[in-house]
Amino acid sequence: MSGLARRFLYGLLGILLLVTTGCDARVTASNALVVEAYFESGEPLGAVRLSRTAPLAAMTDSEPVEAEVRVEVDGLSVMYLPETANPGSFIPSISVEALPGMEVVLEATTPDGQVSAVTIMPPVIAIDSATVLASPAPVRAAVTIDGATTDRWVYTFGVEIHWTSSEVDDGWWVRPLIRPPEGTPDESGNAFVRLSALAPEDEFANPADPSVRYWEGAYAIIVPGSDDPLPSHEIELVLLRGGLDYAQFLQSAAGGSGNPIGNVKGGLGIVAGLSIDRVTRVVAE
Amino acid sequence: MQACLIALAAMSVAAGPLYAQERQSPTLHLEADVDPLADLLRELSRQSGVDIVFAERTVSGRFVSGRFIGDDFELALRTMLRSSGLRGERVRTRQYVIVPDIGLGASVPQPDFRGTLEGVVMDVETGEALPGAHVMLSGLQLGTVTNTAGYFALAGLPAGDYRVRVSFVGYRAAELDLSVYPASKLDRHVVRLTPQTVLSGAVTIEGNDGERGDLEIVPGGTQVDVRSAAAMPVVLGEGDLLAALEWVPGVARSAEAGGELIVRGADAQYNRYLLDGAPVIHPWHTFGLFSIFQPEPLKSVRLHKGSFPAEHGGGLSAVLDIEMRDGMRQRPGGMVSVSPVSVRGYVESPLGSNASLMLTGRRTWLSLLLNPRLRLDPADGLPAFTFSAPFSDVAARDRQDVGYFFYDGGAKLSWRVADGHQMSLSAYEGGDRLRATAPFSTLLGSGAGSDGTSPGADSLNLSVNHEWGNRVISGRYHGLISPSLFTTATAYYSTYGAREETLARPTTALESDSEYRVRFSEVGLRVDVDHYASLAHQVRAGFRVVGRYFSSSFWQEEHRHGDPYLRREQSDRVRALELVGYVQDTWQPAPGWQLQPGLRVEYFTLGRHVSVNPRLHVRRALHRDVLFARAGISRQTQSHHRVRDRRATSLDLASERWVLANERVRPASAWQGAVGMEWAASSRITLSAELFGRQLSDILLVEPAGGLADGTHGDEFVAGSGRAFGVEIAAQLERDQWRSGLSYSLSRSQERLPGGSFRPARYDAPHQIEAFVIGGHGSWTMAVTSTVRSGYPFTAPIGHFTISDPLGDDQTFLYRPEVNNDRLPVYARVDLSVGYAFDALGLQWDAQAQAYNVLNRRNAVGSRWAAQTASVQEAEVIGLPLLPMISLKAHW
Repeated sequence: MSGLARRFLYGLLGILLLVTTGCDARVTASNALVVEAYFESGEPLGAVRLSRTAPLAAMTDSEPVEAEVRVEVDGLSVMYLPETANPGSFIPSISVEALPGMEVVLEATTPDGQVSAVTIMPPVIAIDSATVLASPAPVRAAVTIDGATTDRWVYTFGVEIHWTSSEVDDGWWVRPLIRPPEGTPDESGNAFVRLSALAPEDEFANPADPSVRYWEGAYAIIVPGSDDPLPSHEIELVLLRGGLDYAQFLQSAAGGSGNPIGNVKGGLGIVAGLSIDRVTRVVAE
Repeated sequence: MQACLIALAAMSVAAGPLYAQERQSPTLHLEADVDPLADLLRELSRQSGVDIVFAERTVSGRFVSGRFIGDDFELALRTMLRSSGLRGERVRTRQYVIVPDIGLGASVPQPDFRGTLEGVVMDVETGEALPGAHVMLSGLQLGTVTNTAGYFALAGLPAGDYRVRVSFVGYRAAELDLSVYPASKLDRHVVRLTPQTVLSGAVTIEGNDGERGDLEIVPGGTQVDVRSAAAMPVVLGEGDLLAALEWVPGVARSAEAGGELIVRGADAQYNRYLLDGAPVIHPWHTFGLFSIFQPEPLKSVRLHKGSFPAEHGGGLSAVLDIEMRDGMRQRPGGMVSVSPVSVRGYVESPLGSNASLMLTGRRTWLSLLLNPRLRLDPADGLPAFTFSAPFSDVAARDRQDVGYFFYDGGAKLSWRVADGHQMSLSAYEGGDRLRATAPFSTLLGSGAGSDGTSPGADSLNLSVNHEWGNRVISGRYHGLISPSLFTTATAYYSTYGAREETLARPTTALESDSEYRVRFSEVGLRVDVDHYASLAHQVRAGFRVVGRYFSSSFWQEEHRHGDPYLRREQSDRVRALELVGYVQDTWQPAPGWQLQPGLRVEYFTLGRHVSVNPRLHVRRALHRDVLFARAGISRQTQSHHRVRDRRATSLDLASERWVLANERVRPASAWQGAVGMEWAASSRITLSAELFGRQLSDILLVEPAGGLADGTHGDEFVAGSGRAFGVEIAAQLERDQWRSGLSYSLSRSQERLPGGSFRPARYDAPHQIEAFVIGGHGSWTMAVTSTVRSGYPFTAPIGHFTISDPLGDDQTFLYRPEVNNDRLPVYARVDLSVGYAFDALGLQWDAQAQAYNVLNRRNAVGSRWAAQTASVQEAEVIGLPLLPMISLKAHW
């Protein structure tokens, strides 16, 4: 009995040792390299921006990053140079277009190491038509702006965007986007506002004609009273087509405080080939 | 794993002396000169080390003279008993019982007769069979535990009278003499136990601790006294069985004021809940605030935390085996309880002489009496609920509807088909409903739509409808095939479903309707056979055939001017079959020893996974009725993983889906080991300590860099591993009508992605102290419970960064490279309940006042981070404040 009890106590002490020396939750500080680059199909290569994560209590505008940046487009290597007027930004040394279907590889070498990313340029996207339909009169609604909800009169607007599908459907994602005037209610807390969407492109197909893509969004403009006329304003309608890497980044970044999933190996951020089209509409009474 | 090794080592150390004893052969030297036979038997036992069991009345008045010198124990015993009319019968290794030399009551002597002591243990008041009662042959230091039908059998006993001690938590132990004789006197005994006549609440949880001479072999096994669990203080005064389990060492809740059970730091998905033998998939109401189990209609609750007997599987961390009462056999009875949350109760009644019926029900009642309406507070613009009398504003209610309720109901019909054969049918259904319709025009109560200033505005609204719930149907047969063969067969169907429906009409032209459903079902047949082979061996074997089915569907449809123009659909259906066979022997080789080797083999058709799960548990009474040691090691597998679904909305209701083991996803498995000791330091104080370890494999962990690929399960998860180890120390003090307990758990629970290092698991709480005092005086009862534990880990950002979108707009993100890298502050809470029992209107009443978080401590239960360009703001999420509540219960 005493031997068994003694062994039990030894086991107890062993567990105590394991528990007290085992790993616990701990916050460790580090600053990672952040890469941001969007290349547009059919357009010359754009800028690459490098930065570093900042401590929680600090501003995100960190010191300029010293790096050697190189972008390879369909086998052609392009050196990037620091943009002196814009710290952290690097611009191509020569003008090279990234055409649909091309593979773009970015490499950035810093004193700490190297990061890289690969993306494919999507087919060019174009808005075929875009219309805006306004409500006949203001509507009384609970409107949330900057987290504060108040009782306001609003005009609501439906927006329709049509475009044609890409000839090569290779799993592209599309993001229609409404950019209303400053100060209008956004999607945060306002269920009657729909400023953007993100989905695989075939999900936007019109059942009657699958080659036609269609999306309808909604925005609102606050007016002082129920008798106020519809205010004249201008909105921008944007259509983006990109790959899974860009969609994954956007979806994981939804909400603004999550961990965005990027395609940068060895660092944070996003390097995406995109196709963008935009139109402006003037809405008047 | 370390703890498993320790458990193995401890068992091997403990088992050593057992076999060493067999090799010993001491020289016996006995002398008597008209000495009492009893004294000489004791001397022989002392010199030989062989246990000799006899009843005093059997040997009284018998004397022995003579001398024996030699090393043959059996020769010495025969010599001593010569001409005494008695003989010694070897019942197992190194144990003999002294019995009359002929079978009493038989016409001819039957010296080789071996009989079975069999019977049923039941409640003296209700006639309910009591599963899990301990039946101990006091002299022989061996016994058995009643099965789910309350049946027990001890085979291979020589004819004679035996002193039997029968005990069950919450009942007064009974000491009685039961006989085993040849046919003329062979009969099935009925042992009726009397509930302890303590005030409701004077007995709470009783596990290995505090029960003298119990026969619990498996470390971590806990029998819960359901008769008084209702007296424990719980949030909002709602009687809840699982809330009472929070005070079992090593058990915690996953969230403030409720949440699922966390057993030794393991994720709640690894618990298995059984109701009358059928699994209950998701036994929670109100996001985990309340469980579906009311304590009063239950008769037996058994918690296995850690190592399981071979009959149990399908979970990795804990099994909660719940038996519903059959219903009163003597007279009708019932209970009604009203709390601020619900009206609940049960009725029970005999149906003829051989059948009984039990019905239970519960429903939240505020939604019936009041019409909750969502309004915006004019002062701060925040949403707030107001209540109005029903039907006072029918027109407004039709347009605007915000409400929530839950309900559950159960029934059990039991009947005795024939002597030794019983059948029962059980059914349970419960669910939660949450709905909210908020027309934009009426959200503020002064809507334009209602006064006609804005035609068509009423059509602009947002409507959400969420439903989730369980349904369980089971049928069970108990059959006594022979005195040594008992079979139990259970067929069941259990399903959990959840549904989210959202309808948004943001403009007069646009309407978006979506629905998301998940359903997880099990249909199964389980057969268990108890074979009481001999006094030393009781074999339990059985098989399971389980079909599992998971489906999910999502569709979204958008209409423009009433015409559908967009529809998205996605659905998954997975079916799988699980075949299980197991065998387990409860072996009592020598006095004070119990071994339970077992083997469970499981086959999962999807992916063709075969799992071989050995189990071994050992119990040793180091000092009779005072000091016990237990050890166990076992392997478990779980073929279904529960994961969060990214399709779920931010409301986080139907947020779970199940991934069945398949070609790519292996069943999760765990090795668990435990070594424990229990010491009854005095008649009032019991101390216990238990070391445990758990090694988890193939558990699904979130892979932050997972893809977005649609349609296939498991894409966002990777098979990781986990481990847990620790020690639980507990003390219980009983005095008169009062009982108090104090326990401390020092443990770690960690997980690891492939190739990574261990990180704290979601519910890792290294330190946990729990205490309770419960008892009463006169008509008053009181219970105080307290818990203090480490805060749970959470994922904290360590920095932030800004990225512009392609259109030039900046967005700031938090940088969270590590999971569970920080920990919430210490969580502490004290709850209090005071009850008063009285008789009125021919009923027995029990009024209770409860206070949750009586010290009104502001516990941090979460952390929120707001990323801004300049810096990051952190805000703590504070748990529930002091919540005083009252409830009233009537019995008849």
